Amino acid sequence: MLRLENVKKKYKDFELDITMEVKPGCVTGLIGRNGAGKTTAFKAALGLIRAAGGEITVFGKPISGLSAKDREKMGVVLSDSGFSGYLKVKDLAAILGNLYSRFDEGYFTGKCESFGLPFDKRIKDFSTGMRRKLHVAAALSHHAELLIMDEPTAGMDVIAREELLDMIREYMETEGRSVLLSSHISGDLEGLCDDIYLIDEGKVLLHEDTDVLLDTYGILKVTKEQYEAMDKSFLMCRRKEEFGYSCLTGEKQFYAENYPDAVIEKGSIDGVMTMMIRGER
Amino acid sequence: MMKGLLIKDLKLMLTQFAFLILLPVVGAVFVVPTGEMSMGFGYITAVSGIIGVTTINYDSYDNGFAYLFTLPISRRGYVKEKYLFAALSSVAVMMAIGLFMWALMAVSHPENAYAFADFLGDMEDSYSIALTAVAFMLPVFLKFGAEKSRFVILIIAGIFMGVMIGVSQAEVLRDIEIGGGKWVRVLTPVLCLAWLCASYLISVRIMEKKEF
Repeated sequence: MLRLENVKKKYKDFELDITMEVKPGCVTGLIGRNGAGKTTAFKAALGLIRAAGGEITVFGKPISGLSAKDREKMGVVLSDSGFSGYLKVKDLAAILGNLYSRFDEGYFTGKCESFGLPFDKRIKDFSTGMRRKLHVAAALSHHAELLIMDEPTAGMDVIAREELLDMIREYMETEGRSVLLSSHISGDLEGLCDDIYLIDEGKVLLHEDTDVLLDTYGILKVTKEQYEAMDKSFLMCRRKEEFGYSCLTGEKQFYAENYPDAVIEKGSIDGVMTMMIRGER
Repeated sequence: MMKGLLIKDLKLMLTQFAFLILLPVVGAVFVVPTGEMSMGFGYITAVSGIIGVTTINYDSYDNGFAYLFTLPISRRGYVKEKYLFAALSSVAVMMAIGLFMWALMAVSHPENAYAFADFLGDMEDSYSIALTAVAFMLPVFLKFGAEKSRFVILIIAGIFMGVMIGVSQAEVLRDIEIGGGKWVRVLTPVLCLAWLCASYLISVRIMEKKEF
């Protein structure tokens, strides 16, 4: 559905070098710290910036060769951009209806109403959460096959976030659809994504199926002596702590069986991310 | 796609509704006290040329271009629509204000009122000049954005005025007019069209190179 192969982009103090894929029927999450390169990766995937190297393909076509018809099959939410702030919600139905051949006006206006968005107010006067809701409603309103959403839940309250996640789940009920999304709230990704890419400083540190990450990953809390006596074959990284070491493993069962004295925490996206970024390999 | 963009720009243009309503009122200031239309035509030309171009500012507000180009809109298509919208909005604004001023002239200064056909002829000349200005402003706005464009346009307009004054001092224009007035009349629209095409190609190149 979407593939970035050795995609490179260099800025003055940052370099993106990424390979990732969103498979048909999958929800893929992108996580990383602020400034890790998530938005740059999104912009490269959308052809908004020119990659210095590598290949980007969407629906099997190079991004530069995408037609307006292909673009109709994509629904996008960006973290730092949206409809002109001078437009109003009531203006958008007419605009989108003439841009997308499969625009569902009833769905769009219905979602805007259920989100409580004012139809007669300029978008620039909306809060961040309201803008996100508007763009999510627009992205889902034209039967897109691929959703690309950069921080779609930013600025939303818990109820709106849950509603949005349900909308994405409902969207995925139709076969062959895919989603790429990023969120700084790991709970959003844990309950939704099939696989997750962790990126930092423009590079992929980890790619794993969410189920595998949650089931087999763990963080070992061990003393210095326990650490030194331990088989380190399945340790991915370690971090010095006051009590000894925290170690990330993708085989927590192995350590649970062989080192019953070690404290093992269940893997979580936040835990894995912190260890992968801050730990030494 | 084109229709969607045209609707967007129309909606954006109408956000300046209060300003649009003021335009004929300002036009009346040129006509009523002076009893002539010449300054009014200058005013109409300037206003109608700029009105469509300013929609670029609304598009680029808050990094809006990035989102715009995730919609089913090609960069070339966007540029094409901007020229079309500028041409259409220019003629609409020009006719609305012009007709108001022409009617006002007929009522307030019936002795100076002139034939509708002559009025249309002058409007046609004003439209050519407005389109030439649009062809100049669009690539500048697309390249430099709203803020910097004002300075760039001021600088280029200053240079242009300087050249024009220099040329008129040298009486080149009068020689051309005397030597081949007929040809000037024929060549002007051709040159305008060529300038529009060149401007369009420059704008496409600017947009295709841009990153958001």
